[in-house]
Parts: sequence; C-alpha cells; structure tokens
Amino acid sequence: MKEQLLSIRNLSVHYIKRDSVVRAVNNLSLELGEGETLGLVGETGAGKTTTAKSILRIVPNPPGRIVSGEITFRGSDVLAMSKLELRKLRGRDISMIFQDPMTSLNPVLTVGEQIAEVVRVHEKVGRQQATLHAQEMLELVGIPGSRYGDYPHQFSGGMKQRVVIAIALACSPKLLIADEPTTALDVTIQAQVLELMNDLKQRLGTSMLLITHDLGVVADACDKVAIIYAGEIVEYGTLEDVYEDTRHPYTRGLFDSIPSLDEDCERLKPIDGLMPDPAALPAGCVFHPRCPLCADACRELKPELIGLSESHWVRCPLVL
Amino acid sequence: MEQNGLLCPDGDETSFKKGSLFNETLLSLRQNRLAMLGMVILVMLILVAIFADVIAPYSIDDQQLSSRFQQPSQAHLFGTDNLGRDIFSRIVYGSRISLAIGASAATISALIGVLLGSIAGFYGGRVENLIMRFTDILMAIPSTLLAISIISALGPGLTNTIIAVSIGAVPGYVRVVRASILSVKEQEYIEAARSIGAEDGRIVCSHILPNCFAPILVQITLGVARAIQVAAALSFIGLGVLPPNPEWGSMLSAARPYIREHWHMVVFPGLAIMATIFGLNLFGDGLRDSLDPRLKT
Repeated sequence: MKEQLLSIRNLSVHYIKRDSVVRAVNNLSLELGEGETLGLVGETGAGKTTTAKSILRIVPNPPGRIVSGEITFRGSDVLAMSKLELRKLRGRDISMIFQDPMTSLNPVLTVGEQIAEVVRVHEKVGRQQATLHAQEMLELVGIPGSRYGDYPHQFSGGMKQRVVIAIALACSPKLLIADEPTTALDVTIQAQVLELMNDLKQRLGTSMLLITHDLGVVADACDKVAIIYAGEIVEYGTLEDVYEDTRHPYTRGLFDSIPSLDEDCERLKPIDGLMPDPAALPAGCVFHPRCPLCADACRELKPELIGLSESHWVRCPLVL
Repeated sequence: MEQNGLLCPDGDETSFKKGSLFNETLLSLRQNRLAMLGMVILVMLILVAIFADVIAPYSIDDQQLSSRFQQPSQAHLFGTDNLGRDIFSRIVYGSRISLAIGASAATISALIGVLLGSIAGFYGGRVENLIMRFTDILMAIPSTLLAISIISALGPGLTNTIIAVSIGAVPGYVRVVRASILSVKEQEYIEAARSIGAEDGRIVCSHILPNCFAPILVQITLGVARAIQVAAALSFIGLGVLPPNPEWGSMLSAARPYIREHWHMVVFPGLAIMATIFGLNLFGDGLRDSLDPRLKT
C-alpha cells in the first residue's frame, strides 16, 4: 500500500445564499496515495471544482462554507490550519491548474514574472535565481526560456496552459490539482498538454487530482477514478474497476453516451433528464429521478457507498 | 476581454512586442491631436517652471515704482502691476508654485485614495462600509467649501493649501480605485495568485493594482488640474499662498481693483491658469480615451 498523501473524509461544502442553501458537495470522501493520479469525473455543477478549492481552502467565502468534514494532507489537518500555514501549503505543497488558461494568467505581468513569483513566495532566493529558475521551468514545459519577458496575450492557448503548468510545478509540489486543464483547449493541444503533464508528473513524483468531465482523458492519465454526481461520489475505484466493471447506473449512462467509433449511430444516447438543482436535492438517492433502475426504496432511502472489493465502491444497492 | 486592446494589440505584432500597453497608448495618444496639444502645453509649462530663472527678466518682487501700470511692451512683455513688478516674470515664477501644488496635492491624495480604496475594495464588509460612508460624507461637502474650512482651521500658506486641496480630492480616488479593484478581484488570475500562496498585500500590489492602473492614471492627470484650480481659487480669496509669492490666483485677486483701467493685470494671470488647466484636461481626456478599451472603435 502506498503512503497516504491526501485524505478527505465526509466533506460537505455549502454555498449559503440569502434564500437558499446550495449543497455543492455532500459527504464526500477521497483518498490519494503518494505518486497516484485520481480522476474526479462529473458533469458541470457536480461539485468537482468546489472539492478542489476546498483542499486549498480557497472556496470563496461568503457565500461558500465548508460545513463539515476533514481534509488531511500528509498527516496535518488542512481545515485547522492558520492563514500562514495555508499560505505555505498553497503553491509549495499543493498547487492548482485552473480551467481556463486565458483568464488564469495576469495580463499585465510577464509570464516569467508570474513563474518567478511562486518561487520567490516560497523559497528564500534572490530575484536573479528566481528568474533563472523560471526560465528553466519554461524550458521544462517546452517554451524557449527567451520568452521569459513576454506577456500572456503573446501566447496561444496551449502555450498559456503550459505556462500555468510551469507555475504550478515551479516549487515541485507533492500534489497537483488540475481543474479541467484541457477543457479550454482544442483536441490536438489537449493531447500535448496531457502528455506533458503525465511526463512531468512522473519525473517529479507528483501526485495528481485530475478533475475532468472527459472519460477519455481519465483513461489516459489516471490510476483511480471517482465519479461524482450532485456533490456525492457514486462510484469509486481503480481505473480497471470502473472502466471494465462499471456498476452504478449513472456511470453506465456516462459510458453509454459516448458514441462508439465502430458502430453507426443516428443519435447519441444521453442520460434522460438534468442534474438536480443543488439547492433542492431530491430525497433518497440523488440520482433516482434519472435512474433507469429506480425502485421504490430509492426514492426514500439514501444509499451508502458499498464495497464490492478492496478498491471498488459503489453507491447503489441494486447493482451488487 | 480578448478583443480589447489591453490584451491583444492588433496590427503589426512585431513592432510593439515589449511593453505593449505603454507603446500602444503612446501610439493612439499621438493620433489624438487635442491630447498632443495638451501634452505640448504641459511640457512647455514644466520647462518654464524648471528654467524660470533663465526665462524671467526680473525677480518676483522687483518693484519699480516709477513704472507702475505699464501696458505690455518690449521691456515688460505682459506689462507691470500696481507696484511696478514685471507681470511676465511673476507668471513665470508662479508656474512653479502652481505645478508644485498640483503635483504634490495629486500625489498625496492619490496615495491616500489608493490605500483606502484598495482596503475597501479588497476586504469589503464592515471596513468597506466605514471607508465608503466616510468618503460619501466628504463628497457631500462642496470641495471648495471643504478646502476653505480646512485652510481656515490650519491657516494660510503653501503647505496648508496643499493639504486642504489633497483632502478634498481623496474621495474621488477612493471611489475610482475601489470600483476597479472590485472588478479585477473576481478574475480567475487573482484566485490563481491566491492558490500559489501569495499574501494579501502581494496580491493587491502586484496583481490587482497594475490592472487598475489606467483609471488611476487618468484620475491623477485630471486631479492635478483640479488641484491647481482649487488652489488658485483659494489664493484668490486670500486663503491660499500668501503674497508676495506670485501665485496666479492671488495675482488675479490683487489686480481686481484695477480691472477697468489696466486689463493686462487680470488677463495674463487668468490666461496662465486657463491654459494650464486646459492643457491638463485635454491630456487627461486623451489619456482616458486611449487607455479605456471600451472607448476604442
């Protein structure tokens, strides 16, 4: 068993608005070992990003609030950390790649300055050394170091995402949270960026939490997969568990909705219905309004995560 | 965001690759004739202030009682006043005072305003409420009246004039800074900055404020003009810079009894004030036009 790096227990995050409470994340538990990659897969609004932000404690507050749960990173409780400890954690131990490289770089600073900044925040080095390190990082992600003094608008989308990756990896963090790192990029660039991330991850021994809604990306990069629906994990297991032995009706629906290259198909097969409004979650199983297997009990009883094997867990009693 | 000139300069990419915002602003400023006129006036004024000793033929209190009230002539370009002092020389030296007041008042109020505005905009909540309500109170008082009250409490003089003018200008900065900070702080790159462990001070100073630079710069340029104007008004009613210092406002005030017989005593200081403020306003407006991407067509 690999050493535990990050463990999330029963995390609940709510966005408290004036007239409603949005339950973005409910009772979510995750574990991530040293050097592992976990894919967090779900639809838009399923609470993926909120989970990621909770790990860094950057959920915007107000209105967001971590209501309950425990986040342990290398043995220390993230939710109990002081501001100073958090600042040391962010960027040095855990860093994050944001979804949209177009907006996650500051337009008025050169990319080099932005990479050097992380280094200077966390390591006691002078300006020159930081500059040198930033140039090395640029080279590492495949951008010539001579572009140190260029501004973000002078880069293309894929290049910007490379810069963001360089910033995230500049201090060799233990854990990299990648929040849909390839969503804003086109397919060829997606492949390049993924390859780069995989490569660097292996070289630097970083663990990764990969947030995505693209099952193909997960298959490429991850060791473990967690399928998240309406703020809850509905299926959790190793890549083989989830892809070869798909159990939960939602996960099946996801796989079924991917068109196959071999068959001719007229229409896509989506899952009927929409994600429930997180401000008014249904009683019982959150997936029951859309579930093809829905039984009476599902409408009232909230299913627990049930272990099928050592590593494979599913939140549905009907598919055992 | 992608379309605006701040992020991606259109046109020839290679010609302004470095420092694109600055270069682009300069370029579009150069095409704006009025702004260029304003800049020329401003530069001339600064040169006059620097080289006042060389330009002015007489000193500020060179009294020649034999030649009082002289019309403009070769010897006295703008004529002489009721004490036989050369008006041209006094206006030349007066530019120093006006520019000093304008520059220092604008700087002081900008510093205070940026500080308060940043705190209000970044932290929000009760602190913001307190600061903003306080600025509302200051704004409710007409700025000239405010300056008059401050100066009557402190007493006249150059320093006190600067203080009085600065305080009146602070609310404008606070509002501008707060508004632009509010719009920038929700951007994803600020969240990204937080996620790398940057502290609040660093986020504000090196990430947010540089993005708010344009409106602050415009406000400062127009603020200099306002400061000069208010200072001249204060001197005119005898509360600002004291005689014999050749403040343009106080020169106007001193010339008032002779306005019927000796037009030149009033016209030239008045023209000096007007030209200065005209130039600064033109420049400020031009700057706003070229810095604000929304005004670009």
